[in-house]
Amino acid sequence: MTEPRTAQHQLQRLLYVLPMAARRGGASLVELAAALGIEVDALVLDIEEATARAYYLPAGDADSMQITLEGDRLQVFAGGHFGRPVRLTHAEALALGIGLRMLAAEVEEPERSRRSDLAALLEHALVAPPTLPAAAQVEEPPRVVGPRIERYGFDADAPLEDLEPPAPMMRETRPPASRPPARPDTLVLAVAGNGEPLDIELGEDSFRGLLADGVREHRRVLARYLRPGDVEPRERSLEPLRLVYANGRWYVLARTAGLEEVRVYRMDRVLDARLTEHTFEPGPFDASMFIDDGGRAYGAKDAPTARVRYSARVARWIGERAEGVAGEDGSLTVEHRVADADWLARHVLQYGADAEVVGPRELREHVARLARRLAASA
Amino acid sequence: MPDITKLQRWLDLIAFLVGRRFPVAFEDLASHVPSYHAAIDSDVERERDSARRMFERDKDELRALGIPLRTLRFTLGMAGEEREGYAIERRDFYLPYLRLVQQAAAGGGYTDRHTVGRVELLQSDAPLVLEALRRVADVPASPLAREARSAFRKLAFDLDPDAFAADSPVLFVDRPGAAELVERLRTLSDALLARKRVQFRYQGIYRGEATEREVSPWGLLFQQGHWYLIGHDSLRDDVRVFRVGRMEEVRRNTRNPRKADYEIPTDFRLDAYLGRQPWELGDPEEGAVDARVRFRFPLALWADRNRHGSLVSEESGGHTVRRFAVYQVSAFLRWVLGLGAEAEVLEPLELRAQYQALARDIASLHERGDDD
Repeated sequence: MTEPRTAQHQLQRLLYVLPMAARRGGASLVELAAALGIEVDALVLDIEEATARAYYLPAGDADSMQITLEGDRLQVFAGGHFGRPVRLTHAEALALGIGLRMLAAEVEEPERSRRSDLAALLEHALVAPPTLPAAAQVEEPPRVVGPRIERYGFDADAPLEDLEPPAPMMRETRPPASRPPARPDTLVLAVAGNGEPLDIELGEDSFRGLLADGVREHRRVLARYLRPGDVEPRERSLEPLRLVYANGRWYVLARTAGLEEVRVYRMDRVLDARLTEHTFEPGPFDASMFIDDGGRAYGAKDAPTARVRYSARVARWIGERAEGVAGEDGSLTVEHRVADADWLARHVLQYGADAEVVGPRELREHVARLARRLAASA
Repeated sequence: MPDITKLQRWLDLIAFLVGRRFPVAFEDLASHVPSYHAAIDSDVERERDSARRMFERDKDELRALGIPLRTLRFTLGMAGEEREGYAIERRDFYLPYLRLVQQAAAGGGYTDRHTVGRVELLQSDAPLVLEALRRVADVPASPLAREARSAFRKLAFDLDPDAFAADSPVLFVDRPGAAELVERLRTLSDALLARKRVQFRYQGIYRGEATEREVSPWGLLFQQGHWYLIGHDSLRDDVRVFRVGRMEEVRRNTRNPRKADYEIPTDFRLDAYLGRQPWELGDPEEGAVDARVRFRFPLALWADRNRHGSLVSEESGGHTVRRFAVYQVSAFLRWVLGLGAEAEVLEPLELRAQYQALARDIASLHERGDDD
C-alpha cells in the first residue's frame, strides 16, 4: 500500500487518528492503519511529525495535549481539542449523497423518496460550510447578541439555524422530455458542472433492491425469468446470494430453491420479482468464482470454447475487454467459453461481418443458419 | 529551532483557531503560531510580508481541504475600530453527533434539529448510510472512492460498523486495468470542479491514431461500465465525448490554479448524454431515422421491461412493434441482429433491406471454406 505523504493527506489522516485515540483507552495503531489503508510505519511517521515539537498546540495551552504510544496503543489527551472527527468535505458529502441515491434508486415509493430525503438531509447537515471565493472572503458578522458579543459581532455558540445554509451542492436531475428514462439495467454516475456543481443520474430498478433485500435477509425470491431462446418466461424460486455489476451489466448469482448449483442470471432478463417469507441458508459461497479474468460474470466454467476472429475495424474495441491473438492484418482472435450456442450466434451477429466464428465447425454452421434465417425474413 | 513542516504549521493554526470565541486578527494569530511568528517579528519588511503570504496560502489550502476557516469583520474597543479577523467555529469544524433514534420526529420523515452538532438518524438507517458509502467506494474506478472511505471512517466514529456489520449484497467487478483509471479520473474530476482545462493523448477508435487534445471538462459520467468525459475540445472546436480508458498522460492546467479557465455554458445538459445507446448518439440537426422493430413474444416482455424504444402496437400472440429514433444506422442494425430471430426490422423498407443484406453478409462469411 502506498499512500501520499503530502501535508494534505497527512492532515486528513491525523484529523481521523486524533479523535479515535482521544477515546477512553486509546486506539490500536494496527487498527487505525488498517482503517486508513496505510502501513503502520507510515502512520507512525505521521504521528512523529505531529509530535516532533512541544509547542504546536494553542499558545498558552501547550500542556493540554499529550500523545502517548505504548506498544500498539495510541492515546491522546487533548483537553477537548480534536475530540471528534471533522465535518465531511464537499466531496465526501457528494459520495454519501450518491451512495444513498443509488440505494434509493433500487426501491419503490415511498421508500425511494424517504431515502432521497435522507441523502439531502445528511448532505446538508454533515458537510463543512462552504468557504467563499477569494474575491468575497470577508463575511459580515452572522449575529449580534448582548453587549459583549455586540462589540465583537460574533457568538461561538449561536445555533445553526441562524447561519446561512450551505449552498445546494447536489441535485438529482430530472430527464428532459426528449430523453428516454434511465434504463433499469444501467448504473450511471455523472458529475456535471453547470450552475449547480454536481448532478447524478441513476438507473432505477426496484427488482435490484428487492433482490438485494433477498441477499441480505436470506429470503427466497419468486422471479419470472426469460432465458434467451425460451418460448416463454419461467417462474423460478431463487435463493439470491449476491448481486454483481460486471462489464457494464447487472447480474444476480442465485441457487434455484432446493438445488445446489449456483447460476448467473442477467438482471435485465428478470421480468418480475417478489420477495417471499421463505428463508434459506446461504452456506459457503464465493462470488469471485463466477468472475472470469476479463472481469465478466460467468456461470459455466466447464463450457467448451469457441474462437472468434474480429476484423481490424473492431479489434481495438474488443481488445479493450478481452485478451486475444493479434493477426498480421490487424484482426484479433479471441477464445470464448460457450455454454449456449445461441449466445455465441447473437454475440457474433451484433458485429455484422466484422466477426467470424473460426471454430469449432458446428458453432460456425449454427451462426450461418441463423444469419440465413434473418436474411430470408420477409 | 528545527524547521517547522507545513503539517505542523497547519496543526498550530487549526488548534489555535478552533473554538476561540472571537475572531483573531492576523497580527494576534501570527504572534502565537510559531511559523508566522518568526517572520512577523523580523525587521525586514519582506520577511513580514512573506509571513502574510504564507498565511494566505495556508488559508486557501485548508479551505480546499474543507477546513471552515472564516474571515470575519469585527469591531474593537469602545472606539469601534473595525478589524478583519479569522475563526474556525466548533460547530462548523466538528462532525455533528449522530444520535440514533427509534422513531423519526413527529411529522414524519427526518428532522434536522439544527441544534449545534447533533443530527438524529433512525437506528434502522444506520446500516443504510454505511452501505451507501461502501457502494460508492466499490464502483469500478470510482473517483470518489477515497472520499467515500474517508466519510465512512468519520461516520463510523458514531455508527459502529461492527454493530451494523453486513456483507454488501453487491459485488462490483473492475474491468482489467480499471485501477489505472483512478488517477486519471481524479485529475479530471478535480479539474472539472475547479474549471481548469486538461490535456491528454487520445486514442480514437475510428481514426486509429493518437491525437493530443486540450479539453475544458463539462461533465463526467459512468455508464455501461465505462467512464466518459464530455467537454469542449479545442482541436475540434466543438463538444466531444471521450472515453477515459482511451486517454493517456492526463494533465491539468496548473497555471493560475485559483482562477477558472472557462465557464460551462448554461444550456449544457449532461443528462442529454445519459443512458444513451450507441445508435442514439448523433447530430440532432441531421435528423433521425424513424425505425420500427417487431419483438416476438417473449422478447417483447424484455423490451418493455428494459424500456427499449416506445410501444407502437401490440399484436396477437404477445408480439409488439416498437419505435426507435436512430441516428447511427449501423450500430442499430447490429443491435437488432444481436437479438437473433426474436426481433426484426420492419420499417422503413430501406432499413429493413440493409438489415437483410447485413445478415446475408454474415451468412456468406460463415459458409465459405472452413478455416479450422
